[in-house]
Amino acid sequence: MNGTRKSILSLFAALSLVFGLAACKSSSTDTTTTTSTTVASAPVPAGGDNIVRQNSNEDGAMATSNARVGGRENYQQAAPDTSYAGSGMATARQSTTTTTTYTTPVNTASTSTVVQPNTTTTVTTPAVVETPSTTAETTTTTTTTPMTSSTQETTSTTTTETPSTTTTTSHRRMHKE
Amino acid sequence: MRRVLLLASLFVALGSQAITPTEYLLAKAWPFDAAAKVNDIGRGVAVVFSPDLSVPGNCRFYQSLGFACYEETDWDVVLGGIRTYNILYPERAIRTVVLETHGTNGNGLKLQESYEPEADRSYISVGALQERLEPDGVRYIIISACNSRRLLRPAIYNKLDPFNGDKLFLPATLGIINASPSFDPSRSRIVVATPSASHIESTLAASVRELSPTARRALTVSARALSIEPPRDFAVSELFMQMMLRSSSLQLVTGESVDDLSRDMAPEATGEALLRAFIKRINQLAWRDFAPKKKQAKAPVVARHGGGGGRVAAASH
Repeated sequence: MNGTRKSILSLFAALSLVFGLAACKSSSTDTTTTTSTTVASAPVPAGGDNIVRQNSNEDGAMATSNARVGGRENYQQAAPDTSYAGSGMATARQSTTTTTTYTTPVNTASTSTVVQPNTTTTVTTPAVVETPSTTAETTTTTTTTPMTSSTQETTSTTTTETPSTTTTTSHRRMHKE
Repeated sequence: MRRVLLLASLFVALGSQAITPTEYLLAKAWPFDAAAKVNDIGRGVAVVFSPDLSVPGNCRFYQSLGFACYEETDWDVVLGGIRTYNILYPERAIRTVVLETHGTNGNGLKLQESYEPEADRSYISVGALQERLEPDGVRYIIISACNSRRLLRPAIYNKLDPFNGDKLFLPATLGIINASPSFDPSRSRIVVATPSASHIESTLAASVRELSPTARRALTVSARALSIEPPRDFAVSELFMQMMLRSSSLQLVTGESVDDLSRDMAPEATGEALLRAFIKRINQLAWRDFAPKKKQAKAPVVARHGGGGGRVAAASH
């Protein structure tokens, strides 16, 4: 009996040791995964992206030379800018919405509710402004027509003035000697 | 067979459009600018008149067309005037000088007030012109004078002979200008051109009234811009008209002298026909720039009243 007890106890101890180690291993892996997920889920890369853009925008041509040094410094500043990622997302959405609303004015017949602000945003007034310009163009085209009417002018002048030239056929002639 | 015909017609077409030496020379000396305005026709060209071959106020006509114009009896004054002009107006510097002077039967370029022996009168040799005008930037001299090719004779090219025995060689009351003994015409950058037919050249006197009202208006506007009185009369030589019209009958040569004296001259009808074409040409150029726009001006006024204003500046053009 004692022998069996000893063997059971030793087996139990061995099992507990094995399970204890396994438990220790699993707990450590869990913590690492959680930390890795927190790091991954944190919007640091988004903030980092924005900061890099700011650098590039501020420095312009100098951005390439300062990219490594400045990048490190600014990357540390990115950590408190976590909230900025959200705002950036919001502005991006706003921009897309504005572009969609901007394209809609072209399709004036598609939505009647959108057409009304468009008419107030002088969609029709440019047409009114353009009509004088078209009249101006007609004046320019009429000024180009003198190419054809120049002959009319010359014929008119010849008809009016040719008599004077034809009547005075001989002009005073001076000879170079 | 068809190919041969096509090639032959192509060669004929190309040959008909080949540029002649005269056209090439004119293109260099007096470049044709299709877009030139009336007051810009003569840019870079100076015209020198002997006073007895001119009419009162003649230079105002040429100045209104954009030429530099000189009507003097003293060659020294003319040369000084060209130098001053090129200094004052480098953007319109004179590169070509057209000489509307006497050739004294090919014995010397002469400027004179009249044929009176004691009248103001001066002579210059072709070599002296080259020597004096080259430093001022002049590159072409076109001689429209009597027996102009005789002026290029080597014997008198640099130094005129005052004892040539020609009765037209009247006393040089204002002197004779010769080239310096060391001057070498072959090294000059100035090209001297003369008509191929070395004969008696003629100049016609005409009135500005013969031009169209539009051309007269253009001349008036141009003259007032220059602060000069609008011209009334003008004198123009047949050679000048041929150059202006790019006449196919014009033939210019360079550096070829002749010995023979010619008493020939172009028939009167030729000069009259040239003058008519010359006047027509100026009328056309003036019409392009100063065409009356009364009919066109009324249309925008109506449109303006209908459109609601705001276009006054554009319409009141």
